[in-house]
Amino acid sequence: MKILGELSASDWRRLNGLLELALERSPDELDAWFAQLVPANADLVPLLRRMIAEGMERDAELSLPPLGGPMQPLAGDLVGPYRLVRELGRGGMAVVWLADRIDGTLERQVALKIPSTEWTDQGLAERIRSECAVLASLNHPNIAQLYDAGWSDSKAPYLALEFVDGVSIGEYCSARALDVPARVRLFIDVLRAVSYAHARLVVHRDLKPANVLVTHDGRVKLLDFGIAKVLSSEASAGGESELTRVSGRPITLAYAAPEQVLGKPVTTATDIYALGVMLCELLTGQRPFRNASGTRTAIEDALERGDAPLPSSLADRPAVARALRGDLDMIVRKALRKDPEQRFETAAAFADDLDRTLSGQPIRAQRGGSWYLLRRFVRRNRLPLGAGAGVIAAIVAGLCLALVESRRAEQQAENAAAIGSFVLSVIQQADPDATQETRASDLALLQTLAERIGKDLPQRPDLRFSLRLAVATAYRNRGEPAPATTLLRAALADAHSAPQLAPLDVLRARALLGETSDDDHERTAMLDPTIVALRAIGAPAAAVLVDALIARKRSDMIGDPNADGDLREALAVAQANLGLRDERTLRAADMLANMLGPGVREKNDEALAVLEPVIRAVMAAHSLPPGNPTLLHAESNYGRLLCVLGRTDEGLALLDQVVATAIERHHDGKELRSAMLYLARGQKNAGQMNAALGTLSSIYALLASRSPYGERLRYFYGNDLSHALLQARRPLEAEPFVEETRVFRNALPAGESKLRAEAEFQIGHRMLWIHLLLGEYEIALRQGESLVAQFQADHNPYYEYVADLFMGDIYLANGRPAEAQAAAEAALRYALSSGQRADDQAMIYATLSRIFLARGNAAQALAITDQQADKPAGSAAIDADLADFHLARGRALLALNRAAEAQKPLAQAYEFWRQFDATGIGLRRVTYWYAQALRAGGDAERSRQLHPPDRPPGDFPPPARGAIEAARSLAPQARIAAVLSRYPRRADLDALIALGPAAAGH
Amino acid sequence: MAEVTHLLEMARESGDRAAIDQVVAILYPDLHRLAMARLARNGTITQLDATSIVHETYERLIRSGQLDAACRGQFLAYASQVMRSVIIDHVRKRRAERRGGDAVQVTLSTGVMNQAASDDSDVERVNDAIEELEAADPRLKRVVEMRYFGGFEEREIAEALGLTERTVRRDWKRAQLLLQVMIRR
Repeated sequence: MKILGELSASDWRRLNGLLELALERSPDELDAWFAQLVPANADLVPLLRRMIAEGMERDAELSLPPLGGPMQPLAGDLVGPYRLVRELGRGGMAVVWLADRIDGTLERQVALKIPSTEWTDQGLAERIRSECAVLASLNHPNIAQLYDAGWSDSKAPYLALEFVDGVSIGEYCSARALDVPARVRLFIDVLRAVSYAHARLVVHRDLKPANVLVTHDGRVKLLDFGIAKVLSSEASAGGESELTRVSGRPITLAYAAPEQVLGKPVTTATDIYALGVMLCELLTGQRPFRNASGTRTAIEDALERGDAPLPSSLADRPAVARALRGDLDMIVRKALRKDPEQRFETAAAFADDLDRTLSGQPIRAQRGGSWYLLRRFVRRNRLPLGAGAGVIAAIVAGLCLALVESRRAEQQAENAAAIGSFVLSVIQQADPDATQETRASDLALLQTLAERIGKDLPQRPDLRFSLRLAVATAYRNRGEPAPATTLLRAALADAHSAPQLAPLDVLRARALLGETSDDDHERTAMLDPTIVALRAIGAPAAAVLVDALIARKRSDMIGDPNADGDLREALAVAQANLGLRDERTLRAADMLANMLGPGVREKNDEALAVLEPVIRAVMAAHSLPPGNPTLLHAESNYGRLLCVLGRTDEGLALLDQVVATAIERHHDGKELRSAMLYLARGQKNAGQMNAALGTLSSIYALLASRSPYGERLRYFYGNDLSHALLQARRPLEAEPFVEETRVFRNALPAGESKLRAEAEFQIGHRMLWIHLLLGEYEIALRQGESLVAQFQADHNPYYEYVADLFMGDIYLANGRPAEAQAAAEAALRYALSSGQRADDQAMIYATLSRIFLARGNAAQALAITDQQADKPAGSAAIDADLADFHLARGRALLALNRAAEAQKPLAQAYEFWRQFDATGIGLRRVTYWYAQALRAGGDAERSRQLHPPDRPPGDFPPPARGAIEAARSLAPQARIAAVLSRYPRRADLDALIALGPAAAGH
Repeated sequence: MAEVTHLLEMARESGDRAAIDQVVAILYPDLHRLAMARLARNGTITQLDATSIVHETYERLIRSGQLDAACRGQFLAYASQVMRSVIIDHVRKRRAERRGGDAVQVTLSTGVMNQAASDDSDVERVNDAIEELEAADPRLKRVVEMRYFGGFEEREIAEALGLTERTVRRDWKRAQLLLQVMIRR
């Protein structure tokens, strides 16, 4: 017998010839034919037999390797920003590797999914672009996060997913020999995760035990949510036979729903089916249907298959069968219904029924009712389920309320029919490309629906109302208040002619209109009476009431001393009726906390202290996953509160964590920004000036790298940054940001008068400060006087006040002390009467003290600083303003020959500057006076060691003229870049910036 | 007469080695250029690409008068051959580059599954197997060449090689069986 390795060239020739003959024979003739071969050829017979047998097995063509594709990955290869470590596994469509990030800044490892070349096609780039943003925003502790997607240098695409260290759910349950209730509980976690994703219109498409892992600590993690859609192209309808579709796109047949096998569009119901198979397998160890072999049989099987057998009949042990009989049987069977509409309509409903089983309550798996009727109606009329299924589901779910309201069964059915045929007719005329579930087409569908409601339902104002309310809610949830407003106005008009509508629904519509409308009058007209009515209804209206109260307060938060009343009420109502785990409760607490805080009167410290434990309890009890935007926002506020209350270390730690979480989740939107802003303020108040500047420049750097955010945000945060830089006495660094603000102001369109005025104000007073610090006193004076005159003419006392803050020093520097005193005193009066920030007060006192000292009135200079001997609660350390203040006080004491007492404040100022900016003017100035105090106090040695300057420096000694000119010779962008690179930035933020906007969510 | 046509006829009639070489020399640069462009654009070359590249070259030669449409079949056969060279050369060059970068050869941690052979070495093995096939059955080799490296359909192969479609089909089936065995060795 010849074995493979020994074949010679002539052997091959023989083999070839024999094979040719053999292949002409039919299978029955083969044995006879083999028998009559000459003995010389007998050595090849076994090989021949094997080859022929293999040849018969393969229906499909032998697949040879593709020609010149990208190389198979190897460990150590670089794919995008990742380095491959080891292969984790391979499936039909892709191979998965464990990978590190190259720069090692982000400590986690990822699972890198690299599609096999056979499965990539033209549309892949587009699908990665459109799908991955959605998938990356799926943010749930039980779903493996998609971090990133992109293309390596060799054009190989990759997807970077969270690496999960666990085993499949089946293995986990067997290894621990979990009983039925424990398995069900685990499965409920799976369902909740699926429900989360479905709510965001992401279908998994390939649910199977291999995609549901459990970590060693019992946490469920779903892998590859929605990835199947990205990797495989949806064959265009009618372009391929169903057979090709099945074999061309690998689906795991065992878990595939019948409609999936038949190549119909995939919906959430398909996922439910797969989950049903998984649950059956998890409970009984077996799948409900025997595996079909060969693709043709699978299709026939899918067409003919009846209902699934009951799991209890599949159980291997009688004890298990007993546990499954009844409810669990019903639940699994409902999930496995051949007809998609008869399955659970949502994963949440599935989970709820399982929950009920566990606690002994009756399940709903048998329910018919209006939902079922509607879907049955829709199906009878062959609605293509793929088209905007998510939208329809959302809308119709919202309509259930309306349907359920009518008591009589006929009425229910009739309503269902009317709504059903209406919605159906809209879909049928919708975009034929509507098999994509993109947001764009969802919005288009909503719009078409909105337009048609008015035209096609003339006789039914009640249905029009319900539909409009549902569509408006969908719009609002998508962040589109304007169309929602239009719809709601029309809906409320309908409500007049539909007395049978439930009052709560009408109130809900009014409250929603109050939230979305941009007309102040309308808002008040909607919200005020509605809130009164909602209060009267009591507990059933709690959720709507909370929303309405929050909506009312969001609109007029600033300047209203009673503004927190509504939010307090909202919080109370939410706590009492919705519980601490509800998102609304957290939102109410968060908004209330947001209102109270720095900038408001001191007595609110007390209120804060009362509020803080409430927030703590809410945050401990909530049910939101970490990284959820509402949660991040609340945590930022809480951190800010902690800083304000003096618990700076806790507050900063929390804020830092929030920032890190937001960065890790790629939320480069407003949650991250406000968390960083609070962090910067907290750092500043804690005396960590450099850190604060670093944080602020990080925000700015982030915004500068994301052009979609536009100039507006850069303007706001640029202001914060320039303010902080000026407080740090770095005028040359602040100046380019003011330049940018000028550009921004010049580019504002004509209608934006308020913003323009504000920008003018920012530019104006920043420049005053800058000129003052740069020693350009005359320019400062000219500009200052003109500004003050303008603000007086505009009747803007706050702006005038801010200008006066600087005018005192400006007049003083120009040798006009009387006017200096007048300006400073005016500023002080305003500050005291309107409760302005305490930081400002330190600055004013320092200025006044300087002025008095200059006018020879040391006693008064000292008395002024007595006003603020203690720092307000919340800032143990000091900043430049306070250092100035201490310096002023020290100088006053020195002038009164109380050198010993002068040493303490001067030492404080000295210490601050030494730590913050050892080479700057600030330190030299303080050193002079400190040395004076030491010498006068008898400590000449120490005084000499400080190497003070010989002459007293001026109040605002400027940097060298050369330095000023050098800085100004650069373009503003270059100066800004220099500033940003000077301050330490967070490494993880830099990594996020480097990732680019495509990978990030909002 | 058109230059390439002339060469092809000489190659066919007398098996003139020089003529064959010249055909190859003419076709190689164009096919290579097109293949590399396709690779750069898509990151991969599929059978479809190979076919379309050959067709493109064919059109160009027709337009420039270097080829007559009458010898289309022959041209396709030779072009497949050249296409094969182009691809194999590319694959070999890449493997050489890859091995040159030693940093890539990191030890794999234990427990990992057996690494299947890279796509490239598969292609090379098919190529080697085809060479062996030539010794056993030259006609089979040409069928495989046109099918695998040229991506042509049975009809076109039959036309080019002067066979019936049925023969081509049977040849191809047989070739697959043989190749499988050869590669697995």
